[in-house]
Amino acid sequence: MLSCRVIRVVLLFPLVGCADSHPETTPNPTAPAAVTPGYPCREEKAPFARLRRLSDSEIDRVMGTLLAKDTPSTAMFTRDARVGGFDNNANALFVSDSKLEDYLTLARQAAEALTTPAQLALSPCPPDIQPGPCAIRFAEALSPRVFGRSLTDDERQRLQDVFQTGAESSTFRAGLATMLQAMFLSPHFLYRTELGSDDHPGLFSATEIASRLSFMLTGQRPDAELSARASGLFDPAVRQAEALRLLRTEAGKTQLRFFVRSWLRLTNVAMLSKELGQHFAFTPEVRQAMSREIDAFLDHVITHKESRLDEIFLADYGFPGPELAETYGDDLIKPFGVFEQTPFDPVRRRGILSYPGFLAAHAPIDLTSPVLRGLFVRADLFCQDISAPPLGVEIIPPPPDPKQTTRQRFAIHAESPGCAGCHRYMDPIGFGFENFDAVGRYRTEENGLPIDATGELIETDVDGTFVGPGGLGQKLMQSRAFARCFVTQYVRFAEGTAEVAVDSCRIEHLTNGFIENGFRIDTLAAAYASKDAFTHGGAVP
Amino acid sequence: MKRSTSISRRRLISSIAPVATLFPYLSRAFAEEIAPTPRLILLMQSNGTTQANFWPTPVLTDSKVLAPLLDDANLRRKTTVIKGLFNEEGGAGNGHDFGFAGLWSGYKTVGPFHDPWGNGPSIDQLLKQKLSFHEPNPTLNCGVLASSTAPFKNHRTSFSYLGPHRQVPTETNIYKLYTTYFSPPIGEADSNRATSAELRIRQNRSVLDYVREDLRQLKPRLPVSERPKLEFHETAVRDLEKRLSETLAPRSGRPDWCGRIVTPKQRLDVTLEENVPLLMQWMFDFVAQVISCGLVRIVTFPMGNCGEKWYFSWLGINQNSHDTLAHADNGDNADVTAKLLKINVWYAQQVAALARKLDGIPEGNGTSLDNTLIVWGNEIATGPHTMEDIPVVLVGNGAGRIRNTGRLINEGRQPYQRLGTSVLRLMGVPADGLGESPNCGPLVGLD
Repeated sequence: MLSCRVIRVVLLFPLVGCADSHPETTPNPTAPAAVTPGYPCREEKAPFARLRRLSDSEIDRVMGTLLAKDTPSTAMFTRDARVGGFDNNANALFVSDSKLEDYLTLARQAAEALTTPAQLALSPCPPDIQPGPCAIRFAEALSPRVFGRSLTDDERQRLQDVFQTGAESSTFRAGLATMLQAMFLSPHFLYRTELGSDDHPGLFSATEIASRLSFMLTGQRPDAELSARASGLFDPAVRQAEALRLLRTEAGKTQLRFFVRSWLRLTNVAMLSKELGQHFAFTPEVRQAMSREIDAFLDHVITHKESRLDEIFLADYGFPGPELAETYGDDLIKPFGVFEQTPFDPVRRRGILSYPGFLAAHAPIDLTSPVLRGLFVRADLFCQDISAPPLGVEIIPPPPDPKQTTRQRFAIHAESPGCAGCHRYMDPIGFGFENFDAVGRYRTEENGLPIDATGELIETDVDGTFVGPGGLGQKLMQSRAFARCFVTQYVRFAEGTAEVAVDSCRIEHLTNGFIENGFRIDTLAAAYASKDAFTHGGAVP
Repeated sequence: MKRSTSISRRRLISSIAPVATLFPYLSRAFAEEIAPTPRLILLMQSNGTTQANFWPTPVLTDSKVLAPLLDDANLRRKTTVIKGLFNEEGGAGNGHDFGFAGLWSGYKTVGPFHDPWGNGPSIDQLLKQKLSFHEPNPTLNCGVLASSTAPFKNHRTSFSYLGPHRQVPTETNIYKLYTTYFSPPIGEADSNRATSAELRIRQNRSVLDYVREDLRQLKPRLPVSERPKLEFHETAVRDLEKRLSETLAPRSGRPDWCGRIVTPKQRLDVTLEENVPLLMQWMFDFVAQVISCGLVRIVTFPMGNCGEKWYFSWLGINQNSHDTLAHADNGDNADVTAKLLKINVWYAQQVAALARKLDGIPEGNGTSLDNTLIVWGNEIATGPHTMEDIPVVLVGNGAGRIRNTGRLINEGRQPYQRLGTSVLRLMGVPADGLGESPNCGPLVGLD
């Protein structure tokens, strides 16, 4: 059976749409050039004034700064749009009816948790102070973490009014809880503003720069140190130093991990479903161990390996938990501990692309899909687009066949002119992962036939064949296009926008530095923060 | 056909009966009060249908897929099937994406192939902007998305949009919905509750007044391009206040049974695919309840994710229905066709069950279904991504606004945006077109 049948005559022509999707044709180097001479980068507008609603993960982080335990979370919220895989897209996020309902629940939970007798005992008011002013002292103490600044006089007055209404016919605690609900439903909590200020025309305000820096690097409001240095943040060196400090905090590490997981589409590993029959039980413990292994690995790279991207893609070790013994089989060099660094058999596995959590997340529930894995590499690692199948094309994927390997089944894509135009950009990359099944177990045979795990890249700056995820990792680390794509993804995440162009001058310059500095993500983040564009705001009409 | 007998349904029906028997005038008065314009339920099925088994005769007979709906003479009388809709505009992604994000917005998808998004407001949100509402919740976007396979693309969980990329998330947690809408139960507040209710209303108002003032002060500081975000927020605050007041001090005239609705006691994992049949039943119970109790006017409801891969274990199929069945639906394989028939009949059964729930609730001289328009759409026409003859079924006549029901409309090829244009008009909003086709006009043949 043909797998992609063109049913209209007009579409029998080659699918030229895909020919538009090749961005990089520089020579194939053994290592990426730090600078591409004469690269025609595009000028890009400076950041503009925006209102950015906090993402759910940011809300969780902020809540974590307020309450050490019984922290209310967004776990039950309806899920926001994740444009480009990131949950903080400034254009997509807004407050819908159901979101506000979620916020109300969260505000009530937070107000409750912050006004328990134990919490109130932490910051008692002096005996001579009246309830209203006492409540405002409470609000003042929370304000830097909730609003990222001190309260204004107007806010103080209005919050005191809310307190009085809440306490009316009721208790001091009820008044306090009502006041806190108002704070947690306030747009000053739910959003962050990047609007610029009259004091510094064309620039974000000092408070806004502190907020930008803090959310980019820690996913939460500025800490006390950063706030204290806010007025100095117009100086690039101060921003760079603060960025490096924040990246070393626990919140900084968590945020970097979150970015990498979002970029590599690994945020849902602990929730995956698999159906491999009786031969393998994909239990919640297994998938949670896969997720935890990824965290342990990224923590290790961030803490001990200078957060280097090449380590993420080339590391010859994992952090397996006991639940992954069956998944790994003989792939580990020695008996392993509990989420401790354990060497891989380097022939089989290398880098995060060979981690079970990654392989499982990038596969359907029962089989592998070279198309999906190839598309991921093409789209998220090279920042390339694939044209849509033309209208009128009947799409019939090759059905499972117990007498063929996956590679053999998908060979039909290369043979059919209706499919090859686009699938040649995806399937050959995906074939390179075929030594791993849908849950990330290493295999050399499929349906009794030997597996050929040779992959191939075309229309990149590192074209050629490779074997396995480790081989692909080595190719990627020689690719300037990949480095530039990574930088682009980071800036998209930092700015909360999908509109960052891969070929902008800003991306080009950052890529130069990123490669020169040995692929250090922390250095990239600090360099980005030090750019003039980071502080440039100003309203647009 | 065997009717649904879930606990929720029994409770619903048993609680309706005394209302209809003892207080017919009350029920009628309420209906007149709450249904000046029809209610709307937009349903989306994924993966198309087997065309040969779908289309009925002009008088709605002989459709294998639609049998659960059309074999019931009462429902057949209230049904309209529309043939001839096409979508040839393309966009980002593939046919699933074009149709899912486009059918109810009229816009082409935008973005890269692997990450397409809707590019304009869907009609539920257009209606929300343009109509005035007495319901505390003008719109609700809920559905059943429990699936073993996470959607391949991020947009595939909701077709409700406020604007480009601004997708309204789909609420899938039935327990959360019941808690939000019916806890505490709506109904006549007793005198003891009244005092605390009054205090709570004052407290809520005080909180929301604070929020409103913050929004009011913040708005002028924003560039014009960013202000819509706060306008959506202001609308949500207004709706929330109505909803909170409604819960604490309900409007009079609502049927008594609305005050006795409680959250289902049985606990289900709302993310597990095996629970889909029960979740669908419960969600449709809930939709019938909020619609008929005047709590919501417009419901958008994805019956699964875009390009859903359900294995339909509850039908004994146990196959990836998207990859191995829908995509293979080219008439060559009897086994594939038979399984797809089972699947598509199951969808029809769900729609028929929803219609019957509404039809079992008396309103005025008719039923709740008579004041409602259910539109059951599909993202594509056939599993292999063809976009000609997208299957669309209307159930209910929208408070009498569709006069000629019980028939197939087959007026040749029509751009899909005409469907949305007609729905806007039926709901009381003048429209010449939708999305990319602002002048396409309404459906030819629907009257």
